[in-house]
Amino acid sequence: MDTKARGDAKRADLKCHVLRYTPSGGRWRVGGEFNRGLPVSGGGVGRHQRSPPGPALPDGRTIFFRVFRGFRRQRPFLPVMIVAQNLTKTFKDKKRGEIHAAENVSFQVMPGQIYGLLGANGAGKTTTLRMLATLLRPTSGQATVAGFDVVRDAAKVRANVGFLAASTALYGRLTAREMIAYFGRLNGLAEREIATRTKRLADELEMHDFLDRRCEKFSTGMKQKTSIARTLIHDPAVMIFDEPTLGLDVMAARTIVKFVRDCRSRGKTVIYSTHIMSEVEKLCDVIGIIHDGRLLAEGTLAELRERYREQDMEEIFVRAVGMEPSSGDRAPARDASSPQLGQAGTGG
Amino acid sequence: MNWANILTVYGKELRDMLRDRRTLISMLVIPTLVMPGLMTVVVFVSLKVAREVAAAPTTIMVIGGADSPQARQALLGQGKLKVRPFAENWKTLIADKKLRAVVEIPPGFDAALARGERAAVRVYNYDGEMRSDRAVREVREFFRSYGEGVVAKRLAARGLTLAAIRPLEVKAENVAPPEKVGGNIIGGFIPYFFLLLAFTGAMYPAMDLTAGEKERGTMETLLCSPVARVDLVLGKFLMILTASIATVVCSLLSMALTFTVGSAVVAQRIAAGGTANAQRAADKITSMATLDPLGLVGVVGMVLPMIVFFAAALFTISLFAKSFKEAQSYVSPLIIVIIMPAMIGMLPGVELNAKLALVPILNVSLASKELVSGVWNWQYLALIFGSTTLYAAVALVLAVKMFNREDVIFRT
Repeated sequence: MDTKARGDAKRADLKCHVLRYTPSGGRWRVGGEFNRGLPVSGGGVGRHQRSPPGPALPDGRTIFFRVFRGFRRQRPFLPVMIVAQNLTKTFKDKKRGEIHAAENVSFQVMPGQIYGLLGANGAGKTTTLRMLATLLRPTSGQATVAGFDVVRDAAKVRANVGFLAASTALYGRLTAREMIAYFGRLNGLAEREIATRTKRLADELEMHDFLDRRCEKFSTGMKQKTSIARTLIHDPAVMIFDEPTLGLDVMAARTIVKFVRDCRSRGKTVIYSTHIMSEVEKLCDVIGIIHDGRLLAEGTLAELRERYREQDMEEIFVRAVGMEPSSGDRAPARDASSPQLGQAGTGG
Repeated sequence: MNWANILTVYGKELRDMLRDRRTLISMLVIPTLVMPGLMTVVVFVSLKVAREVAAAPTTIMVIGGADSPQARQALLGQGKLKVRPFAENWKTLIADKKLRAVVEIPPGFDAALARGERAAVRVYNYDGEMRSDRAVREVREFFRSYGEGVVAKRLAARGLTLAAIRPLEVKAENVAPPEKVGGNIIGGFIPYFFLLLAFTGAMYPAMDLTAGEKERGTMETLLCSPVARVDLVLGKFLMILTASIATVVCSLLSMALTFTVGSAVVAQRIAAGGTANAQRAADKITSMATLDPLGLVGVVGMVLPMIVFFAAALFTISLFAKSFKEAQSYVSPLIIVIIMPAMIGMLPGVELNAKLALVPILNVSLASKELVSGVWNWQYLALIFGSTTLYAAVALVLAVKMFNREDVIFRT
């Protein structure tokens, strides 16, 4: 991800358009979520027509592009693979009444980027990610993943997402190979394709020793590798990791961290939730600090350091969480809940 | 709905289940081997006990009768009852089961009979105790035939035969085909077994594929796949249905085998007694093991939608549970809910009518009872089949609905 583009994205007052690339006409057309039917005029469209679509954009698929206000000006279009807009999830509990697990969470993630969602236990990380993975339905707000709406096109979203969480387990009585093949079939892959991909994944993850053994007898590391292969078998454009290192020893956690980096270098769009500060520092391009269901601050590590005048991530986190909601002009909570996209990061 | 996806899910669940020893044991081994085994043991033990009781002579004691040597001699001379010498503590002996009964012959018994009067014999026993009751029965039988002898003598003295006082005799003879008799006798049990087995067969996989998956964390993994929820439900549901049907088929086959062989053996042993009574009993047992095959097909047809209903209902209920244990506590009490209507269906006198035809389980139970005894009441059968299919469809729709509810799937 080039820094200039990100800088642009932050400075500009952003708007989102959905553009459809039609292979036959070779043109981008506006459609989908916002401003449906608007013509896209100007050189921007023309320019982009010649450039290859994003790393994970098959032809004919609807995808988000970031279009700056006044897009007639020559600006590079950037595909936005994940757009969360005021995602809100409210649970009803008999004893505690309404619980706002996520409140007006808005952010976006681009290909080749790792977005870190940092928060304490119960901050709303899992709820937010489950909404993006279509496991939960947002109470209000909307989100698109790889151009598909998480409510209306849930199945298509899932086809483009690899979801790995501490809570996504393996079938103990299946072998690693069967487990991977099962999810290949569920994703509609042909048997031959499953076989080649399994072989490739087993090569990459060094799984051949235990590929035909049952998962119930695996060590944690073997389980992790199998889970990773399971999430990658359909080669999703978007990877969602929900506290993947929870309860793992150092070596197993390192495997995960390495794998997340690999995903980035392959141009995948990655969301990574954790409560471990050091992981965020090591991995994430953009960090969102979430607390009590609200996204309180967002930015690169450098930006956050500058904004909070702290070097240590833990200090930054504590200040971000403790500051809300009324100290000074920047009021991150208000930023995050503002309906306009990307604003949480504009202050920097 | 995508059949390729449904079959993928079904295939995986089938493979998973076949590798699970616990399921195989509860689904196939127990109903196939243990149930018929238990039945065999129970039947043989009770037969053995009955034979032992029959073989052991019944001990009685005679009080009085010093002035009635005829009656006394006759009583001592018969072979069935063993007569003990008189003891003062006979009441205690009866209570201690050392003595089965005491016969008191009143004074002047022989003389009264000789005069053509009516005489009374008193029998003391241990009420409700099996052997004591049997002793009373045998004493009664002895005095009945003794009395007949007296009657015959009295009639002969007047130049008459027994026909004078017993001009009529009623003889009953069965003309219904043996399978119908069998259907009537054990017809009530057939649907009871069918339903109970179908339910228990579906129980374990239903809990394992829903609450079990939630507990093990594989449910969330599965939900990440792009397959439509309805396909996941149907794949799992088909697996539960398969397990249920497999249990029914396996255990019924093995039970039918046990019953056929067992009843043949039992009938042979009883017939070996040689008397006409024993032969009748043997015939009755043989006919119990004979069932109308067409009726059985009818029962299967009636029970099938019920099995679908069970599978879908169990799926829905156990999906709600967070863990296997919680599912067990919801599902186990339901066995009684299944047994009660099935039992009522077994009661004699409860007949099918339009209202009962709408009561799930009971309707199938009653219809099956009629079917195995060869009665095909098409209107009721259609009503039952239709209503049960409707219940099954509703349960299945409910299962899909539940599976789509995130507060159920992610219940914490």
